[in-house]
Amino acid sequence: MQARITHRFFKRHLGQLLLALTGIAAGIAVVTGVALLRGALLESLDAAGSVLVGEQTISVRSETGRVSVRQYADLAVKPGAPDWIPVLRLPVQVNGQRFEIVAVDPLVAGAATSPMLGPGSSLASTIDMNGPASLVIANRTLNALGLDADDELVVEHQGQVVELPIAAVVEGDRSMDRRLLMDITQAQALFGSRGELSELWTASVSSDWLDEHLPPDLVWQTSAERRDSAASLTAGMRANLTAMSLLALATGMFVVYSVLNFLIVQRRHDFGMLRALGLPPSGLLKLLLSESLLLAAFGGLIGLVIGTWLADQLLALVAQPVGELYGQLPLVESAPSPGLYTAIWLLGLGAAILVSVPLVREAYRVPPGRLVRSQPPRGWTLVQALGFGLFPMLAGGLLLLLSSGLTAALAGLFLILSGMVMMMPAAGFGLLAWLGHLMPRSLWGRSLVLLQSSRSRIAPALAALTLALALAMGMAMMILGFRVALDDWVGRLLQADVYISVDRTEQAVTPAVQLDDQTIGRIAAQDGVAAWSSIRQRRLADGRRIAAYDLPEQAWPGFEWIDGTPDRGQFEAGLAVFVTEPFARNQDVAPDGVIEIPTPQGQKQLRVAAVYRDYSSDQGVIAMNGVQYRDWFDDPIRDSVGVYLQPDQPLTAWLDDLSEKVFARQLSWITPAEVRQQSLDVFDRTFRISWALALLVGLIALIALTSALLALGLERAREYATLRALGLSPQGLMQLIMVQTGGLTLLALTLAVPMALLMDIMLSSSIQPRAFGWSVPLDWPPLAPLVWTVPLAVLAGLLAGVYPALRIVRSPLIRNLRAD
Amino acid sequence: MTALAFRSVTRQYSAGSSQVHVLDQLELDVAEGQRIAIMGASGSGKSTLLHLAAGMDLPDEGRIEVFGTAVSELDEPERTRFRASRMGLVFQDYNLIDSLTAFENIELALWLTDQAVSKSEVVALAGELGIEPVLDRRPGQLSGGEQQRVAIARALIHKPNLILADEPTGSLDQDTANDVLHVLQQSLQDRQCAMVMVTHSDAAAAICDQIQVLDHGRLVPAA
Repeated sequence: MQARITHRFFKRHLGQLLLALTGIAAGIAVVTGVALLRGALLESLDAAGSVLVGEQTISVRSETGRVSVRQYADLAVKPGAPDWIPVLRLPVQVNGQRFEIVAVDPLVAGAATSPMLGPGSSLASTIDMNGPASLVIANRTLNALGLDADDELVVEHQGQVVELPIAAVVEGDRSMDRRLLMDITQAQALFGSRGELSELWTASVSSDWLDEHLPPDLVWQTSAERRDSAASLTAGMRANLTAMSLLALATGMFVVYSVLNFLIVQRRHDFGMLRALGLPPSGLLKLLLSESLLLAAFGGLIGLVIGTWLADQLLALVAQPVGELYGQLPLVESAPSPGLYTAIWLLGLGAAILVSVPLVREAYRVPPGRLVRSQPPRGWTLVQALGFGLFPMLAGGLLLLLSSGLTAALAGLFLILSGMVMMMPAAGFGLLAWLGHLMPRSLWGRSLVLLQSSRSRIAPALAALTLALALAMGMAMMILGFRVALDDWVGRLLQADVYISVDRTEQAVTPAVQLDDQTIGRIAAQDGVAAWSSIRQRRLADGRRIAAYDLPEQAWPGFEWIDGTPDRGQFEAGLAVFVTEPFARNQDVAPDGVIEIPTPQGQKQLRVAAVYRDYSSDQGVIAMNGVQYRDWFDDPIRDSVGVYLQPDQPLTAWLDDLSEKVFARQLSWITPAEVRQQSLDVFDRTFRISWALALLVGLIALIALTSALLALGLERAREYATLRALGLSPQGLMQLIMVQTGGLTLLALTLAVPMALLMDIMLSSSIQPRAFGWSVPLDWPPLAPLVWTVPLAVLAGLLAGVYPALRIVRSPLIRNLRAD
Repeated sequence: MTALAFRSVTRQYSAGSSQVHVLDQLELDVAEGQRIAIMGASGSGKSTLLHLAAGMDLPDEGRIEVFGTAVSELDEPERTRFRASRMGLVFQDYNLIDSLTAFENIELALWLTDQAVSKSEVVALAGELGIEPVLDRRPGQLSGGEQQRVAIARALIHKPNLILADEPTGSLDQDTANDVLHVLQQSLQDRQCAMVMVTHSDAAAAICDQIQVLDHGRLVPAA
């Protein structure tokens, strides 16, 4: 009989069924999408090496990023040398997406590549080393590009564009995602990398052999170590995504509550009658819980399907910045597993049971006679709400203050937000009552006062909407504030007029030029040069990075000091170093601490003089004097030279001179404005996923609002009918409901603003430093998010109210006058 | 002048494949200040008659006039405005707004007719009906009798010419019902206000000048 009651009800109310399923599916979809995205980010991290040669692959690389063929030849003939697989890895762009060319010798690596290529495929049989250059691509990657096997791939590497035919399409495993396999000789010739290798792979060598025979500028790592290291790079990003998905789940739970609430309110009369006719409380409990579980089960399944699609869309959003920031290639599509699906589906069922409890209790506790005409509970008073909300806020605050880990900080943020969410509805309705009494005889005042009787029904939707708006505005404030900080930092850092580096794309056709003392001397000798700076970056064996600077007077204002005393004399004398904020945080280093640096001349110790702001790397950098560096490391090369021109020297003319008369086309340059634009572009791409998730959370909250308003319309049907009977016109009633909807949205906005400000401060001062190592200077938050959000939210809120309002206005007046 | 007139009013509903004539060529005249009780069996169409008089429902045939205005020929907004200004409604279940105090429920009728609210007027009427001490309470804090008095005050505050009452004592015990009826009778007499009351109660019908019984869609004088 219970199944029949449920079946008949939903058959007659398909709209409600759809809304219920949509609400539940939306929450589950966001959680599924982010969970799959996290998996795709983790699974893909530098997987190529391990698949090619196995989990125990040793990768040998140069700190400069390039292993010379001479070094390879030397290592190959050392006593006890293993079989090396030389590899050239080139970051490329295909169809605007980041890919990687992995170029190997098919004869040497042929057998090893079989697992990567798939059953029955080998590199030697698929690539014609003597024919024109071509590449091997996995079927999944080809599909993701929307290309056929007959098409040619347009590949761009450092400004050089080439069209490459596809030699073979292989099944390939996940490590082939976004990767293109090529013959190494063809790749070197094509992309101007003759004589250069990225790394050497081997599976059969001991660490003792490596320690004994590797030259000082080569470092080695196992595949597992590389994957751990790569995973730690994106840990902050993944933690932030998880936090966002949990916030989406929390908002989704409000939706589930609102939807179930709506269904229960709609049938309160039926339930009361069933109770009066003898249905025991346990029967009602069984009926309500089984309906909640059924909805959650079906809604969850829909959510899993949508979430899988969503994951691939989010992956497309995040692929480029992950490549740009971390040098990693995410999979082309998510890789769902039955275990993950089951876990999320069960999470949805658990959430449905959790939110059903207060509703079931409400129906369960009221005697049958009263259930028919019972009023909804009034909800918490302001004092109760303050009491309940203060506890998690204090706990969250303590967690933020006393812990240093990211997980604890995120938990603290959640607790603080939970506390605020508990307080907000009571505070909001207090504000509504006050506003209503300020204009007691206007439509506005009446409309707002009329909302008071439904506060417990609307409170969850109000909380969901407030949370979503606060999340959107807080995230936007943090992102824009960070963007301003980044812009300021880039603007301050780049004091030179132009930055010059070696043009690698031209090296294939012209003799190589290096940025050494001689080249820099020639640049500096050009007319119009006032001063120059230089930087050389090096990765130490333990993964730490050094930036060796030659800094003229003009470059020093580029540093923003955060801690310590920037003792310039000590720095230039090679007695002290500066470290970036992320380095100080990651390595737990403070001013006056000592850093040990392994050099070819042995371990060297340097005092940390000061900490400076830097957003270029979340792992951090040690800045040391260039002269000292060249002395210790015997490395005269610079990666880039900054040129400071005399005030009357036009840049274009100077560059023309440099290009045509001095170095032909061997050098490339970039202006500070271009660097700034590129940095901001990367930044914008990085945060696209945050915008997308915030938008999704906002949409879920709007579904919650619509459900709550529909429930309100049903519950207050008699009140509305009475107002109509007493003389309120249909238009007047429509206005009244829209004022209520708009009022709720404005209220949610009002409550969301302080939450957003707090969220901005917490994200900038606590979460960012722990996730990425850097802080954002506290300043007035950007107000642009308010300017965008307020009209958008009011419009969306009003739209969310249109359907419920139309339903209420069109509902039968006479029947509702008698409705219980 | 005739306060309310039904001229050959027919109202029918579908019941499956057949049509039920709830009101069949019904005729009714209520004079200014006259009070008429409509009695009849359950389902005889008493409430339908009241809803038609209030302009909340429309006849299938015939014409309904209130103080000379053909209510059934007005459009929806005009009917609503007319009902708000000229009529007062009293319901069996009071139909008070839970979130408003008794005072606010009463002044609701003034707000809906765009009339200025005179606090002294509301208080005076509440005093007349014996509910002045409870004006700041919400409906949930009032007894059934007090709630119905508030509803009567709401029906009278904007000085309507016609009261339409649907079982005004149907939810009250006998003593409370008698009190409410007494108050209603007194108020209507003082204001020379016409009333059509639908009721099953002989006691309620007794405060009216005339009793009609609705039978097979037509009104007949009570025996």
